[in-house]
Parts: sequence; C-alpha cells; structure tokens
Amino acid sequence: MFKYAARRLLLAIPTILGASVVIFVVLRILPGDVLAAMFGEDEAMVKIDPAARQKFLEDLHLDKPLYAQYFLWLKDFGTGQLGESFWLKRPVFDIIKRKFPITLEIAVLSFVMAWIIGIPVGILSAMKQDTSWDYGGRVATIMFLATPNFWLGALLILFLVTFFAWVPPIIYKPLWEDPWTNLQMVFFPSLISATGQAAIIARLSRSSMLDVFREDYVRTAHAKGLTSSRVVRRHVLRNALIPVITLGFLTFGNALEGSVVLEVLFNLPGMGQTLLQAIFDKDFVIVQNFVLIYAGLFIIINLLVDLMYGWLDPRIRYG
Amino acid sequence: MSLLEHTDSESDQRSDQSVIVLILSLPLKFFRIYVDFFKRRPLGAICSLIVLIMCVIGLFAPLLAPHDPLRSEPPIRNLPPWSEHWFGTDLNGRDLLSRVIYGSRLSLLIGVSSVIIGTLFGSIWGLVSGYWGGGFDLISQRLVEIWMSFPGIILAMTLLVIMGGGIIPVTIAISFGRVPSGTRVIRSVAIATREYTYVEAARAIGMSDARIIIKHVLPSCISSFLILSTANIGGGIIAEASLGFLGLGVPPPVATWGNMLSSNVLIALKPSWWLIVFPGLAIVITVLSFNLFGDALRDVLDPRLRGEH
Repeated sequence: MFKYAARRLLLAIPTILGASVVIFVVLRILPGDVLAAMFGEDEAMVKIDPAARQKFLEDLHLDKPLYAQYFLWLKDFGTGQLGESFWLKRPVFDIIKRKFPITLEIAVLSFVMAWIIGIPVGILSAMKQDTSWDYGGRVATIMFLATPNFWLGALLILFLVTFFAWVPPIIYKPLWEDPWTNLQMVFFPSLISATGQAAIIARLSRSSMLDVFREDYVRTAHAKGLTSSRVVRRHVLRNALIPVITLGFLTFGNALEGSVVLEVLFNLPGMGQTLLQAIFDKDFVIVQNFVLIYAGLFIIINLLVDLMYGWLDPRIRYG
Repeated sequence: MSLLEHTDSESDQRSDQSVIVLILSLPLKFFRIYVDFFKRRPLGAICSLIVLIMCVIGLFAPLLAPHDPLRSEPPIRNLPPWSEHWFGTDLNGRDLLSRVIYGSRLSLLIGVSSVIIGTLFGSIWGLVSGYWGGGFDLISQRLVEIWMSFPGIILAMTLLVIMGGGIIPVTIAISFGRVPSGTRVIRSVAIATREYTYVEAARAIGMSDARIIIKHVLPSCISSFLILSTANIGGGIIAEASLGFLGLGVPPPVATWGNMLSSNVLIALKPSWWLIVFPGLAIVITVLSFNLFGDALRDVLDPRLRGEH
C-alpha cells in the first residue's frame, strides 16, 4: 500500500507543475505587454502613477525574462507572496484567505448532502428494480442531470420569493461569526449543487448494485436461505459501494466547478465570484493564481480517489 | 469501333446500374435501420426525433419566429405571456418566443460543434497515441492528465480571458474541455484493437501504419466516438448556457439560451418567471433528449458499455 501511495503521490507532483506551466503559458502568450492587456492599450485611459506601475512590474517580475517569471511565480506561490491585485487593492493572499473558506464550505456541504440523498435513492432503486420506486428514481436522476444548476437555483429563488416572500441574506457572515445567517446563505446553493451530484451518485450506486446482484456469491447467499436484507447488508453493499465511493468522490470536483456559477447566482463572495470579476477586469494576477488553486484541488481529489481505490480494493494495489 | 465511339459494354452498364441502385437504396436502408432502432429503443428513437425537431426549428427560425428577436418596442417591456407574445417579452421589449427560437440556432450550433470538435481532436490524438505506443504515448498520457486537472468551466473561462467573447471563441473554449475524455476512450479502444490478429497479419504483409489505422483500427473507434460525442452534447449545451449566464458567452443582443439567462435577468429583485422558465425549459428538453438518445445509441451500438438496463 505504501509503495502504491508513494508512486501515485510522485505522479501527482509533475502533474501539478505541468498544470502551472499550462496556466502560465496560456496567460502570457498574449502579444504585447501584459500591463497593456490589463490596463488597456492607451495608458492614458487609466491613470497609473509611476510608483504603482513600478510596483506591478516588481510583483509580476515583468522586467525579467519569461522563464524567470515562471519560476519566480512558483516561488511566490509557495511562500504566499502573491503580490497585490490592482482592482481589489489588497494582497492576493489575503483575498484567497477570505474567499476560500466560503467556496470550501459550499463544496463540502453540497458533497455531504449529495451523498445523503444519492446513496439511499440509488440503493432503493436497485433493490426495487422496475417498480415505481425505481422508475421514479431514474426519472428524477435523468431530469436533474439535464438541468443547468444555475437555472434550478434561479427557479428556487423565484419560488421562495413568490410564495414565501423570502430572499437570502445579503451581507455575508462567516460560519463562526453568525452560523444561522451563514447557513441561510449557504444552504440553498449547496442544495442545488447537491442535486446534480446526487443524480450521478444515485445512478452509479444503482448500476453498481445491480451488477453485484448478478454475481454468483449473491446467488449462493440467497440459496443458503439468507434473507434479502441480510444478503444486501453483508455481501452486496460492501462490494457494490467500492466503485461508488471512489468514482463518487470525483463529484467533489463537480461541486467545485458548479460552485463558480452558484456563487454568482446567490451572490456569495467566494473564489468563483472573485475569479469571474477578475476575468472581466483582466486581472491576471488573480486569474493565474486562482486557476492554479482550482487545478491543484482537482489533482488532489484525483489523487485521493486513486489512493482510496487502492485501499478499498486490494486488487488494484497488486495489479 | 474507334476509340471516339466508345459505348459502354454490358458489364459497364450493369455496374453503373448497381451503383445507382445502391445510392437510391440508401434512404430505404437508413429508414429500415431507424425503424429497427425505434423497435428496440423506443424512448431513444423518440428523443432523436425531438432532437431533429429542435434542429429543424433552428434551421427554419426566420420562418417560424413570429417577431424579430432583435427589435424591441419599449412600451411593451417585460410583459407576461399573452396572445400577442406567447412567451412574453424580455426586459428590452423583445419577443421571448422569437428569441428562444433564434437562440436554438446558436445554442445548438455551439453545443454540438464544440463537443464534436473537441471529441474529434481528442479521438485522433488518442487513436495515434494508442496505436503507436512508446514515448509518444507516455508523453501524451502525462499531457492528458494535466489537461484533465482543469475543471471544464474554469478552463473555458481562462481561455475566454484571452480570446474575448463571441461564437468561435466560446466554441473553442468549450471544445478544449472535451478533448481529454475523447483521448482516453479512443486510446483504450485503439490499444485493444491493435492486439487483434488481423492487425498483426496486416503488419506482416507490410501494410503501412496509416493504412492499418484507417482500415482496421478506425472502424472499431467510430462507434465509441459516436457514443461519446452524443453523450456529451448535452454537457456542451449546458456549458454554453453557463458561460452565457456568467456573461462570458456570445454577447447580447444576439440571442442564445445561455445569455437569455444571464445574471442580470436572474438576480433581479423581482424576477419575471417567463424570462427564466422558457429558455431554461428549452435547454432542459434539448439536453434531456440528447442524453436519452445518447444512452439508446450506446445500448444499440455497444451493449457492453451498459451500466444499467
């Protein structure tokens, strides 16, 4: 197990570095001056005083050659000295510190809700196959997979406003300051994000359980006279849930992705909303670092999934 | 007979006739295949018809739309549905039904073409990478892993930073997200196929790599490609909608289902339900049909890939 884990970890490091190279290249292949791209062709349009311009040059190391810029960026990222955003007028690291918890909260909450909803639906669908429970579950799953999450969120807000005259709170309060307001703000976007993930998890667990039902050892268990529920509990579940847990953890990545759109819709000051604004402002400092964080999180999730797979299914480790 | 007075010999005439018969019989053959598809997977066939209807609506939008989607008359801003405007009017006074009909053109165009372009590029890469193996394959695999580490929307957003908005940039941005899955799937098919005996035999008689790929490996990949693309078209349409919602898609006043649901519409203080419901329903119906059609296609083309009944 240790060797497997070490091997996967070693593979993840060049992947993250590769991702950083890609981000850097994509954002720097622009012809012309990066500053001109950020502030517009005509410098007179935006009055930057020479001191601010000089500071920018130093922060982004624009006075050095391209490869040096890349390595200096990596060093900055590692030490947390990410420079300052021109538009938001604060250090990028501070911005990350404030926005990341919100995004993480939505992602984690939606992930937990998705599993609470998804697994029972999938298992029930499989055990009562081809009954109305199954059809209902499958129809719901398919419908949720076909709806854009922001549309669902908009419908939800519309519903709440029209029938309950209730709007989510506007001023954001962190969880430890004011839990009730915080949860009011975070609950609905997490719910919407959870429905999409739950659909995937339900589908996955249903098909996985049906596959295991067909196995010989299940037939043997039934033949031995064990009750259905006992068969499911002791034999089916633990085997069926392996692919579900491993592949299902990947939906955490979906959650992160979906949270960008939901943060904009529900006006939550998370990383996604900041990233979007940075894209409109052409704030390369923020875009570069935020995208690297998202990519890094994705890679870590994939790494964890691989490790979990290796832990849960011994055949993978020794294969 | 001199060479200038050439008339077709009997066998030439017969082969000409058989080619004509072949071409004329293609529609009939296609019809028979379709009826068979309908019998085996009625839901999928119905969904393919819905998809076809959506495409027809898009194609004949100028004939079907009752009003001009770009022209607005300020006195009738933000009206709910009524007899004159079946879907109501939007915040600028434009007829919503016409905008939804015209929006289908761009949404379908962007959604379908971005997925097909991305999957095609990925498939060709995966095909070559899987067949050749060796160093090229190793490097490609690492590149694909890096590529896969970017969430689709975020990758598209980053690309749109430098490309700006518009139909082609959005299509390219979304297609980038579809490349890795195409590469992975087709590569595994190519790896499986190159071990077959007939490929070994072809290599033994000296067939060039390119010819082997085209004649032997490619046919196995086509069904996987079809299944992969149709399954992902729904995702492409939703991606276009999400980018439109974020304001990064095709800029207004041109209508796409995505930018009709842009954030300034949805986050309004008292959002009008028809502005939200109708474009969204169009998206849901289209995506649903594509997904179910893709599932049915997969069931028919390669039942081994079936995860559930």
